[in-house]
Amino acid sequence: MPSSVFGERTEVKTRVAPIGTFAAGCMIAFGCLASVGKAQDGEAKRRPIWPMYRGNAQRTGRSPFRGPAGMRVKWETDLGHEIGACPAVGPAGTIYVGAGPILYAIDPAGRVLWRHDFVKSGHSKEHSECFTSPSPALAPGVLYQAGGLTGKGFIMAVALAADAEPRVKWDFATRHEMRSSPLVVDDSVFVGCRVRRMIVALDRDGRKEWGDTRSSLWSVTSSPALSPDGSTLYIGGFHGGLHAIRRNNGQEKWCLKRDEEAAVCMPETDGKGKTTRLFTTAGHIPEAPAVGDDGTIYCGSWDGFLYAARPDGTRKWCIDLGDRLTSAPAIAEDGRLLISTFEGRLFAIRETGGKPVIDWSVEANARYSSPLISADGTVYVGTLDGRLCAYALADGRQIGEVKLEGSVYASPVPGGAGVLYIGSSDGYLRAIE
Amino acid sequence: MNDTKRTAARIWVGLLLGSACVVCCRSAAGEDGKRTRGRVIELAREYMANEDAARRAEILAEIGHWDEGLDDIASAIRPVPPVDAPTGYLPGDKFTLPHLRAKMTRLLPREGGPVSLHKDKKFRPAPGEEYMNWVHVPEHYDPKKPLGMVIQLHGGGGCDFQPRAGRYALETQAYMMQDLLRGGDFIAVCPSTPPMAPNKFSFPESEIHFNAIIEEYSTRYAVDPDRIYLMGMSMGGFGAWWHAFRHGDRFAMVAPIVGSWWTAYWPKLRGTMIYMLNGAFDNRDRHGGSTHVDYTRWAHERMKTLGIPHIDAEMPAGHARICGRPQLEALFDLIKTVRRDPYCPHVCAVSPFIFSRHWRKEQYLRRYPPQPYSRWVSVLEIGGEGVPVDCPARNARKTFAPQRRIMPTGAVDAENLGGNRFRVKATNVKRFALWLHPKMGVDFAKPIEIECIRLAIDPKTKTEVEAARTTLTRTAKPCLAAMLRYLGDRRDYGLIYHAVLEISVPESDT
Repeated sequence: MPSSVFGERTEVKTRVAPIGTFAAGCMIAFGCLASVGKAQDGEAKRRPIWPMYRGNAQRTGRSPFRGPAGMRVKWETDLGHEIGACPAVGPAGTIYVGAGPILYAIDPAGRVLWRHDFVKSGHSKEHSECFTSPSPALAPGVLYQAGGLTGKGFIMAVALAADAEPRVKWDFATRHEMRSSPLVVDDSVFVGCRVRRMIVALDRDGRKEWGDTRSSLWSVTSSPALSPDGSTLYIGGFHGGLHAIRRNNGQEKWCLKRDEEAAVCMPETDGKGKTTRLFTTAGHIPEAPAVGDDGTIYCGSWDGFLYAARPDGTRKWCIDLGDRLTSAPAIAEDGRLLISTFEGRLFAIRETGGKPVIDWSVEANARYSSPLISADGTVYVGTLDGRLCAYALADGRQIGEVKLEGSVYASPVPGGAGVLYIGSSDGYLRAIE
Repeated sequence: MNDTKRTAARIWVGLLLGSACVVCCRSAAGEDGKRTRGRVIELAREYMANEDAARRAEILAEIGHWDEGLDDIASAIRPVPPVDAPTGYLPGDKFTLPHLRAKMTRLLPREGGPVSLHKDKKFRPAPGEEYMNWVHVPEHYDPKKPLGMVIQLHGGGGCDFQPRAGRYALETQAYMMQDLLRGGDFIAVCPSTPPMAPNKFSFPESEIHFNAIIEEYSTRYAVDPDRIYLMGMSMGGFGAWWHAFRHGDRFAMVAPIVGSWWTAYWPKLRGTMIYMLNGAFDNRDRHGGSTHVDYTRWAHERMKTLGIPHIDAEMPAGHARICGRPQLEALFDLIKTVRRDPYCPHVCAVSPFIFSRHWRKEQYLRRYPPQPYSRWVSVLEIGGEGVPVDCPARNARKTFAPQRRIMPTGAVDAENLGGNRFRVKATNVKRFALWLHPKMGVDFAKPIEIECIRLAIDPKTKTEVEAARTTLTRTAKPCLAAMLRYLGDRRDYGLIYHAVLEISVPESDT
């Protein structure tokens, strides 16, 4: 791996939104300059703001920060390729995100610190779809990124040194198309992959900890989630099953299989031509499960059901939402679940007397963008028509939106209090304040 | 014997003789009828086998008025598949029917010939080289139990005439076909393509190729004509879209996978289930961005608005099908249940339907075979204007930006309202035909009412707007001539119609 690909000078364009006063501009510029110098210095010492996909190992999608006050674009940086993945945000606010075949590190002012081109490093061909979907994960001093298409799939560790330019620590060839985001626990990294046990487990040096790497017929796009006690990994399968795997040895604890009778459902309409049910399949869990504090595992399936499973592998409940569930669920502080569907409806589900009920739902036009719940009780989702929308968690009322461009597949992530970062298919990463 | 008894005896004798005469006469008429029906079937078979227009006209003059048991006649003239047809995997299978072999030989690519070659490459077929198909027939095939047929079109990185490449298409690239073949009652056909031709399944003559495939395997095997499915991957996905717009009514379902469309008139898809599968992260730098998911999303929105049944099974992945396995499984589930309805109540014909880049090029225009039909409606004569169609284009940031253009063609959107009532919307069409069958709920003893709406094009919005509305009343009479005319043109034994109404579109309201 040639380290020269790091630190390249780039043609990246950043536009900072006018904020009206010279003083404010100076303050931002000063802050940016200060952060550029200190950003990587702090990475290894403090806790990341948003270390991995969905924010934590339980993949709850819950932010400890309040959301933006004004819902306006603070800055936007053109990364040149479609952005389908969520950024990870380091302790000092450095943003790590993939765009097409390039991994970027960007400072909190939107300026590119370095980039790694996976075409030049031989990990990708000309295809910009290289890692549009897997998000990076941060551990102290290391960033993990999965990516690559069939035959070229990889998991990579990049050392983030305080006083030296970043370098590739190791890379592990999976050779399968990688669509799963890494989970980092202690010194291990776990990534969903098209292998027999669905997960590849590597140690801090890139050596396989456990797992049979023989390929399977089934791809994996779901990302692993960790139980609260840290003993079990959960991941969804293409064949509709939810798998529980022992973290220490990779043995399967249980698999909650899809209903044997499940089948494709065609769209249904009532007598007046109104659609009552949309197309669903026999089952497929494409996204990361979310794990509650009590150990309950939640996941959405293409069969139209949101499932809740107990830690012992029995089904707690399920609820039919009538459309393919294409996002990862988010778990609010009060236990409410947020999930969006293929046709873009955002649902809030709450449990009453042990049974799930729909609290509210809205037409959000969100498909893959998984909901983010901020500390002040606001739900954020990106939309297919290029917006970032904010809804009140309490009642689903829309309380704000900002128009972006392209389609938003990724979920917004917090960059600290009052700031969100979001990428779009138009190739721009934007900060929303 | 008194007079009374004598009279009674005479009456009885008379009755007996009369009855005998009636029986004899009926018997003679029955035999004559059978002979006549036999002759009708014989001539109808000749009509289907003989493509000479003069001979066909003679046959229709002789038997065209026949109006009894038309469905039975259609069944009787249908080729009977042999009982000893081979089963299993048939790699490199060649066309066997003489008239199809002749057609396909004419289609072989040659410089300046019908198949457009890649601009940088020259190709002349080697002696003996010809179109082949990679076929799988279930081992349990029984000629008495018709099977469905799936035609799978490979991608641009796939095969041509060469056996090596053919195996690649069937065994590697079409891996999901293996699942289908193991579990389903289907004949699977993976056709080969001319080497070096771009868009190998979408050139003007490819429809002849596809019709030949359907006829060849429907003749050699018992194939249910209402269970023929077309699916294609990448370049094959483009081909699947193309054939859906050209002659989608031949298929129960068309499944374009990571492909896209070039020229679209969405109402034409009425009646045929479309299952489209693109990757959300398919690369916009590849294929000029033409397999980007925006194409299918646009199609999804347009078809949703028009009420055209379809499934958008977008996958959260790129161009590779491996990440679309759950969606492909769902497709196979659907294939097992979806059938074509020859009499579905809402259909649309567009003719001629031509790839937008060929509209102004005479050398291409003359190569398109006529395709005026869509199930029970056909375009007979068009005007001098056109029909608005969607053509994809991209802006400077490679964002999908469809354009509306006026295709020099005519469209007829026909709806069977029931109770001998039809509503027809005609755009740039002077004359059209409705092909009728009792299963459409038509009572031929009663008049048929046709509400005829002439549409014009708003030059500002390039949309169709109503220009005139007229209600016509006609009567239709079932006859063999109508059935044979349609069947002879299309050679599809699932599309049987007994009567035809030819209608001139009124210019103004009446």
